[in-house]
Amino acid sequence: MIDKQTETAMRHWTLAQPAVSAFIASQVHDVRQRDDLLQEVAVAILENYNRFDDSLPFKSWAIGIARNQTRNYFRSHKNKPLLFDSETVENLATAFAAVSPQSIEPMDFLNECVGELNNKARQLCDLRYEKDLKPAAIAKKLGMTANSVSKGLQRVRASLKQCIEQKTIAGGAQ
Amino acid sequence: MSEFHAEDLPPEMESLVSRHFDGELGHEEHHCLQKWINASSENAKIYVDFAILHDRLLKANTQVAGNLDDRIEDSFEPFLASRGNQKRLSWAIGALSSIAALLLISLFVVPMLQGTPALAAETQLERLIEVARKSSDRTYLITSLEFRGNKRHGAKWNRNEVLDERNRRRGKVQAPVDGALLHVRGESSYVLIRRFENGDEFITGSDGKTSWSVPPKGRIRVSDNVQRFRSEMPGNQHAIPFITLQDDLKQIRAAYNIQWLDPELGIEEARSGQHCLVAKKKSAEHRGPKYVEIWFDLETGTIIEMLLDKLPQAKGGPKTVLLELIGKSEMPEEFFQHTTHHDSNRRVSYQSE
Repeated sequence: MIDKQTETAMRHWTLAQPAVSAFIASQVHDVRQRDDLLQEVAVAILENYNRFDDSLPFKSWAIGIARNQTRNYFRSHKNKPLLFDSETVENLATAFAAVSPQSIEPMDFLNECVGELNNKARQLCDLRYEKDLKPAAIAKKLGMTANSVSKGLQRVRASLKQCIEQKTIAGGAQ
Repeated sequence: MSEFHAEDLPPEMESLVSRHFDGELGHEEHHCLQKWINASSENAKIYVDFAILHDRLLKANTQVAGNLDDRIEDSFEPFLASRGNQKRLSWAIGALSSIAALLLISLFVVPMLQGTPALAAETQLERLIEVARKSSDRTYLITSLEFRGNKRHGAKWNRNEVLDERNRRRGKVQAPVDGALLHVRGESSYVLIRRFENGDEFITGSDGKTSWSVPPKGRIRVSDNVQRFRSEMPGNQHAIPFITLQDDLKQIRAAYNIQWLDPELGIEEARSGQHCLVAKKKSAEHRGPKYVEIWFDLETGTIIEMLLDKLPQAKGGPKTVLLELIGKSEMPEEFFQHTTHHDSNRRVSYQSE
């Protein structure tokens, strides 16, 4: 049986999690490490939730904890160089904290949009995101150059964004 | 999605952002990306939208959007399920210890963190200064945390590399600060041991009355100016030489805005007994790094780590330096004299200034 406070924390966390997850992923590219960090953040949030001042935005608080956990991660993994300096992390933390649930909702169209990609784009997307391969490895697999794979992935992301935007507009018009 | 549109993004920036998420950016390109993100909040928003898309794509096969309750369960499944990992297991079965820890924190730590945050931070800094004045022997490991960049062959050299290369050609190779050990006693005695790749050591120090320099070869130099051989210390050119910690902290007090890392995060950190003051430089008129973190033991006031980020690069040297306390063993009195660090047959040159 989950008590009321834990339930509230979980509800808050569920809404904040996409932004927190993306905030961590922007700095930690290793998927497993990102997942571990995300879990550490969730544990810290649950353990410290009674200290959260609910007159303040939960997402900012959660991203603050994520920032701290990420900082500790880089401290204990000195072979993993920092992606961003402190100023950039601060600016990104502010920007991620401002992400609204309304701006996350259109992402529900993502699966549909991935399904609409042409075969080549779908293959690139699968190799990059399902198999977690980097452009060089994808290039080797497909007999392409790493540069053309990078360009291809860029186009895939742009077309997914466009598709999501179009479906959001269409959905809003209905 | 937010109000931005991908087509508003200049193609070269879209390429940078995209390749960043594929882990393909080199050092200079990462600088460009950072510069662009920091240029405006709109740019940061554009980056954030790409980051959310990228993150969703990563999770596309493991997360299925459903109703809120389902998503809650999905999100917390890792914690509610029994896990082998000790940290997560502690969440499932360690409720009592967590409550006890929170009680302890709220009884002893929180009162110190509450109140006017800026005032509390200033007060804490005063305490650190006082502890530093009285402190006994300490040993710090210095690490240069260079900005990330998977440097590619053929990429442009940055200024530091040009300076390093110039020094190499002129035979003025400097011992690296990265990996150096710094032994400190009281207000002005120190020994800095830097090691070359071939294992040779370059040692500089002071016993508080004289300073000295012991290179791997050649004469040993001794000066009655205690600041004579501090130039290699990271931060020295910025008036934060680390050696006289008390002075360093006073410098920070004067030229920086001091605050707690975050009140909430301070509590989070309290689990390991460490807290952090963050110092941000008030203006470019002051010398020194833009950003300093001072990690310390709340109970004793002993500084455990100091991070100096964005050190000025006009004279080369690392951009980011971390000092970690690795020992508090008392060193013998003669350790801070040059004679301990070289053979007795080495030639010694004395300088008076």
